[in-house]
Amino acid sequence: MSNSLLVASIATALSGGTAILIAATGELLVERTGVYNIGLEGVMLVGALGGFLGADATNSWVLGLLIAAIAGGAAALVFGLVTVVLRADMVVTGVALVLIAVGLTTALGQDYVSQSAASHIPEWDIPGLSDIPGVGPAIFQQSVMTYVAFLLPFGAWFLLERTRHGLEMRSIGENPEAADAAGLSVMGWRITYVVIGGALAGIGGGVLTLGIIGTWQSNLTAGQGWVAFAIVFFAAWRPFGILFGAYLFGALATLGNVGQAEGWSVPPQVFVALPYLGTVLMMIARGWVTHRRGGSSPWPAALGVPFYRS
Amino acid sequence: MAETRRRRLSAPYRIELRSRPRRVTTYRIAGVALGLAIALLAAPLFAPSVGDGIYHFIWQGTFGTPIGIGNVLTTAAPLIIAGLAVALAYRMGLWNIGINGQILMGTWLALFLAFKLDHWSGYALVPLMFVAAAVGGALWMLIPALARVYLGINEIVTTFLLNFGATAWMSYWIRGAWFDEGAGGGGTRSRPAPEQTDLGLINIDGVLIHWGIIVAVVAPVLAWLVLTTTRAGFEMGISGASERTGRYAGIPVKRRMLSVLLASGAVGGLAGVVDLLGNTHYYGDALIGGDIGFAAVVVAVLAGGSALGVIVVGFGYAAMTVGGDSMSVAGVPTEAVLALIGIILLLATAAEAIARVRFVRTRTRFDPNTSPAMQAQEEAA
Repeated sequence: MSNSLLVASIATALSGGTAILIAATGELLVERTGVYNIGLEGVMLVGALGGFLGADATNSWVLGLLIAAIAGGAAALVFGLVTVVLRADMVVTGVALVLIAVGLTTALGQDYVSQSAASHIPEWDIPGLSDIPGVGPAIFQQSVMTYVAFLLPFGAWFLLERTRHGLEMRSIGENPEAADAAGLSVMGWRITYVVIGGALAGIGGGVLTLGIIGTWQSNLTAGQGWVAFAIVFFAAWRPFGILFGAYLFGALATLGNVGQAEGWSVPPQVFVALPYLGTVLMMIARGWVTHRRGGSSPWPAALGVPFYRS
Repeated sequence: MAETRRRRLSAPYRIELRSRPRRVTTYRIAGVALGLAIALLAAPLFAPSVGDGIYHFIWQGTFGTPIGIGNVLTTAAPLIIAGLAVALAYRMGLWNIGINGQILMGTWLALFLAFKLDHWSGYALVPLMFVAAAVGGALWMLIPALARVYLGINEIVTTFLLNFGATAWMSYWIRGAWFDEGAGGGGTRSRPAPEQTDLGLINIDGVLIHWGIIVAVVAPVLAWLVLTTTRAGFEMGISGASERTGRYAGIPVKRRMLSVLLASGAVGGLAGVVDLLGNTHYYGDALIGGDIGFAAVVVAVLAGGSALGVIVVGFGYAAMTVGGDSMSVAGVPTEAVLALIGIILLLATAAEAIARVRFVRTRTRFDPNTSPAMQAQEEAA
């Protein structure tokens, strides 16, 4: 493989994992408080269109991403109100959210299909580091959001493992009765994190329209929300596992370009399916290892269990 | 640690789980009715140019004409079967979100055999294709099912993500070995299935519908009989309601879970072959058009997992999709109806949740003037 192709591939892999990384980190926070938002794909889609329209109206990618976050947070709030307050089924509500999001974004966005975003997320070459031959251009010449996304799991780790509030979050996800008895508002925090997770997924969607893809297309998330959801399981609810999973997805998604450039005699469909099948394999391998060690399940104990104060 | 206690926002109502839920089905139907009302009221908003005239388009496209009724029934047939597939798993608390994949792999296996054995008579080939589709669907479900039952890996994610593999597989065949050299295909569909496998049409008063509709009625009835009259069906019901109870009663819960997931995959494959032989006659995107995987989930959930209920709900869902398609004449994007269906599902599941809880007024705030202690003091004074 030529050097320039390798550099380009690493760069694409890193940016290709970015949207998933942001959405999955948000979902991780949600799931550590005991709720899973299966409608992540829908939330990302709403954020993607929100970001596109926001940038269109304001001519600023920053405001675009802000609007993407608000749109994603609002979509997630609907999910939160129905599942956390009314305790409706999370899977059904999530599927409903995806359907509503696909329908609404396709209908509202039909006049914008294939239009370029009004403002694109800029690139930032880290001074000094980006001049290193080979590694520099591959890793340190990226869109601003790629760096931000890379830092997010570290932030999530710090929040969950090193702060008092993180301990409270985990207690809500592991044992809501005890958390409630200690005076924490289980419902309040769960809703709060559903909205925060939704805002992050919305930003993930916005990164697609304002950066990685750069245009609006109907259904442009193409399953990335589902992959983000799957990666949280694969990562066993640990922030750094998400970092690994998201970039592995990005790398697998890049393999197609490499194969094409190198003229591998592999049907292109293999590369289309590989990231998704790879995610399934990673999940199974992870489960297999946990099972073999006789280890306890890494699930937050109250994940998906609605909480009623008795 | 008392000092870490936080002030709680006091809500005026508290939500408690009822020990015995209200009539869940009634609530769910009420939710659906509300959603339908919203959908019908919202329809003219999507098409400002025709306004109220949109109802005319919808009626003409669905029940107003023989062609419309035929379209609804043709759409309903695979949807009912796919809904049944999801419902089987749903009854045991499991999810099959991968109907698309099972349809594509099941029909692939069926058509693969049909191309190999195209000298066979249709009377032998069609049953063989049905069996092959069921086997193919079940095999595609095998990995998620084993992973769920023996490793505890969430089947929602795995069944859904495998869809992408199946779509790539389809694309590989219709652009490769099964490429349609005739007119029109253009890489979007395979060459047609052998002619003798066409299920043929029934003509009822001008309404044309293929024989596959029989499967859409018979399969749910058979499933209902199995679920209500056999020991395995009974055991599935128990372990679906409570896995722990099932295990305590000596039911082999894992084996039941595995077989119900595989059965779900097999029925998913059948949904594909019925549409292939009765409607599309080609292998391609059209088999999963409009994302039948999610539609099947909606049908199963709104039917409450009832095998007979999926017939009614599947028919209603088909009417909505066909009605939505006929709105496209007035410039409404066909996906708009997806949003309305999502809203119906959301309202139905919220209504169902409300049936399970009660709202309790929380204690009123402490008021010194009315507190018993204060009154006792006053009396003493």
